[in-house]
Amino acid sequence: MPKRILVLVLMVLLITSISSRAEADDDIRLMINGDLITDQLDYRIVDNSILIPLDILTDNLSIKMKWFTSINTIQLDKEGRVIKFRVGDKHLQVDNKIIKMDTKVISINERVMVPLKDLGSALGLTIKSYPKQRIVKISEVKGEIKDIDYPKTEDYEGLEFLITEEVDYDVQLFSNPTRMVLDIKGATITSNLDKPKVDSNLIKDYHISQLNNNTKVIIDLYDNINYNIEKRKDGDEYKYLVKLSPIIDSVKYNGSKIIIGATRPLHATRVNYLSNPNRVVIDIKNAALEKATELKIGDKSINKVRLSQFQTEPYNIVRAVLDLEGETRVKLENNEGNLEILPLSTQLLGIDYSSEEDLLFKLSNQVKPEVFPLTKGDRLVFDFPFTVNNIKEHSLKVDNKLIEEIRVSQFNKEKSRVVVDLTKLVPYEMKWKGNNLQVKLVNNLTGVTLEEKKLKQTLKLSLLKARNYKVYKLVNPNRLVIDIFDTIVDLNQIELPKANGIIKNIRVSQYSRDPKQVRVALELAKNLDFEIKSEDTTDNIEIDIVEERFRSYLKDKLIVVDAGHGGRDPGAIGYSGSREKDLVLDIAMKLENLLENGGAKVIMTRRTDEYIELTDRSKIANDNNADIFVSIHLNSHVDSEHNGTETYIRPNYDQTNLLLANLTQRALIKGLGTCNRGVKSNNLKVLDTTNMPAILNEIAFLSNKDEESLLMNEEFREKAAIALYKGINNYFRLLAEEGS
Amino acid sequence: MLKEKNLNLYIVVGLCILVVFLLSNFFTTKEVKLYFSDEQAQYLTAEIREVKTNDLYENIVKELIEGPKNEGLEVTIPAQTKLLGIEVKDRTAIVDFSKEIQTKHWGGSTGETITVYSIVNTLTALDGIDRVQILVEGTKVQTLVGHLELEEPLTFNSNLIN
Repeated sequence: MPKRILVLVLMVLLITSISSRAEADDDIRLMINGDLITDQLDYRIVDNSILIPLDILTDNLSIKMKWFTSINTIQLDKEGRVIKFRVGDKHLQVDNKIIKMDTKVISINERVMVPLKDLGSALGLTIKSYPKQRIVKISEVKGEIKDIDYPKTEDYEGLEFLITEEVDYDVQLFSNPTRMVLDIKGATITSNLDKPKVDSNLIKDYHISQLNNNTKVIIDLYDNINYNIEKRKDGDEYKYLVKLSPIIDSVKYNGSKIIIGATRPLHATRVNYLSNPNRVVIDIKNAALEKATELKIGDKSINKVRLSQFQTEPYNIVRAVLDLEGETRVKLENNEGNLEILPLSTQLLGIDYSSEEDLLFKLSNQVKPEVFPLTKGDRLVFDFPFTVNNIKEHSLKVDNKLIEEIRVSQFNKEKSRVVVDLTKLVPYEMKWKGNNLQVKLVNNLTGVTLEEKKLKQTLKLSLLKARNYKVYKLVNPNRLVIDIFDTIVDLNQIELPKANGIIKNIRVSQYSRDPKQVRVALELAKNLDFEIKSEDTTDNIEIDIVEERFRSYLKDKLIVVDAGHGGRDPGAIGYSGSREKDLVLDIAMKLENLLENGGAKVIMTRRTDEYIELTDRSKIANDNNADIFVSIHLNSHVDSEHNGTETYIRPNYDQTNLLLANLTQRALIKGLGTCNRGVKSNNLKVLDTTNMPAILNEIAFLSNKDEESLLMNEEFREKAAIALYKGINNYFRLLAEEGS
Repeated sequence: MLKEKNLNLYIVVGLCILVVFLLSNFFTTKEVKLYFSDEQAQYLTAEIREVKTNDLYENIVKELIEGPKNEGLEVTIPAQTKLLGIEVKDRTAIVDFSKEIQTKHWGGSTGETITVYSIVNTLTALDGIDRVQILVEGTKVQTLVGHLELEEPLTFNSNLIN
């Protein structure tokens, strides 16, 4: 503490008292840096300004005073700040500036009286007066730094100090190391100041320290920067924002691009194209420019570039204006701290869609589009950056199998957009052919279905375009493989059917990309046979997968199927009243269908509920020279307990006839699970009167309650027909094998 | 007169002898095999029965219509069926049934076979009959209920005998 000297205290009446009053009505107390110096201040009021003795200030504050008597000048030095004035003069020299005070420095009884407000301000003192309490407070400490913030946006970055009072500050820049020193005068640091960490390209680190009543902030920098301090009142407090910007110090053109160099990397930019004349305005945010520059380029795309400091408040923007030739677009890239401006003048000249499978984008030079396949709406969107659309039509109606429409637009100043509406979204491949971009809409496998039919499974493969394919079997494990050539599959776009029964697993894969080949592999429960139903080149591959023994041997066979009874002859009557003639007709028709699917020619003795003579039934078979005759009946007995299946042949049967009977009987027993009553020979009229192998199958007993209810179930009748089909097919297979 | 008396005596004696003969014939029986359906309706099984020898064939067929006594065997001919006549000519039995053998029949190849061969096998098992021709209401039928040929006389079917 400086030693105390009691002096007279003067007080100015700031609000109402206008007249100069040499003598005070009341005493005034003076406090310096919180200490009471005197309660009877010696003061004068001149022109509303209060003057107090200079010695009170020099004695109580760290001020060095020199009196140059020859020139009647007093020099004060407060922590390096030099102030000069003369008694009887209104002017103050602060460092090298002259400040005019409200009133003169006077001398009363050899005591120098100085205007407190003006000199105090020049000395960096805080002076507050409290008229009611009649106190004047002089303080070297102006305020307290309460908070430090590190704001960083694309517009600016820096350090912000929250100080309770308005303060003076000095800034000095140093190199080696590059640093910025900020002296905040009369500001102390709050005891628990939070120092935010910086994540900056400009600031390495910073340190803050307090010396006496001043605070020093040392900001270590990576390189030279431009700074700008913005003061803002925030309630009763003040915010000092020290904004830092890289300095643009070079502009070059290397023949293909403009390179803007700066002390630190440049980032955020805004690009705006103007026409008449064609220009592009590039605003480089948070950058300072060393000096406004103009660079003549004069090539086919850019004429010249001008750089200027567009604004400094509220934050720095450097503006580059490029005079463009034609429809040039520019692309900005940050490269090694430099901002590079690449002129691009790509033009979308046309689209060739004459080929159904590919599109050709004709461009003035190669520019890679961004492609968005959109599942919703089945479309492909091509965005060509820095590309000017020169296609006049907005919509090109295509309407081929794959492409419905092509829409072209200048999406924005830089981007041309082409939307290709497809009938179905497909994979694509892109390839440059000179400056033309070929987009191949790759043929793909769009659907895999597996239909289970009575005796086979049918695999169907849908393609967008007809293709060649190969089908073959592999063993260990048993597989059926279908290779589809020149085809791509997008596994995300297809749903595979569930494997079932004889097919254990279905897999689809892009077997190879080059050449494009899709492989569909079916894992089979056993060695199965297949039959290709589709053409060699097709967009719908269809393959029947059949168990070897179900492979049809019926091609060109003539089979007479005879539904027993009919019309006035109902045949047996069931336990609950069902009629043999109706049920056997249904089985016969089902069998007809199966046999015809298998390639056989079928003649039915009846298709309706009509009475046909037994001899007429045989006659049909004989006249048509049928290969076999199959008569379908249901059995009956007086005792309803009897059940089972039996097959009749004529007594003078030959071996083939017996074979037919045995195979159908066996198939029925296996297929229906009924009791095997065997193959029997008997003089049944239809068997005795036919000339070819003939059988009469008694499927089950209608007189039996359980079997009747089975027979009344369509599924059972279907099974019966399938069993007969299998038996008959097997018969022709064995004959064929024997013959070969 | 005396001669007349003797003649009358001869007639009486002759009649007595005839009556005795006829009565003896009426009361005598013969052991025959009647073929009925077995329990599985797969085969025909013979039931041995004493049948009165007067109108032997007619009696046999009537016994067949009545059905088996043995619990393990089953009926083969609809019960409402009546035998309209039976005669044997050239070792062929011609058996004429009422229409119920068709109209009341249960149908089925098995049912029909059992019916027909129950009759055919039973009759052809007898001495003097080799074949059986079934008639319905006096006429030949193609089949009984649509399966088995009946136009020609049938012979014993050993396939049906277990």
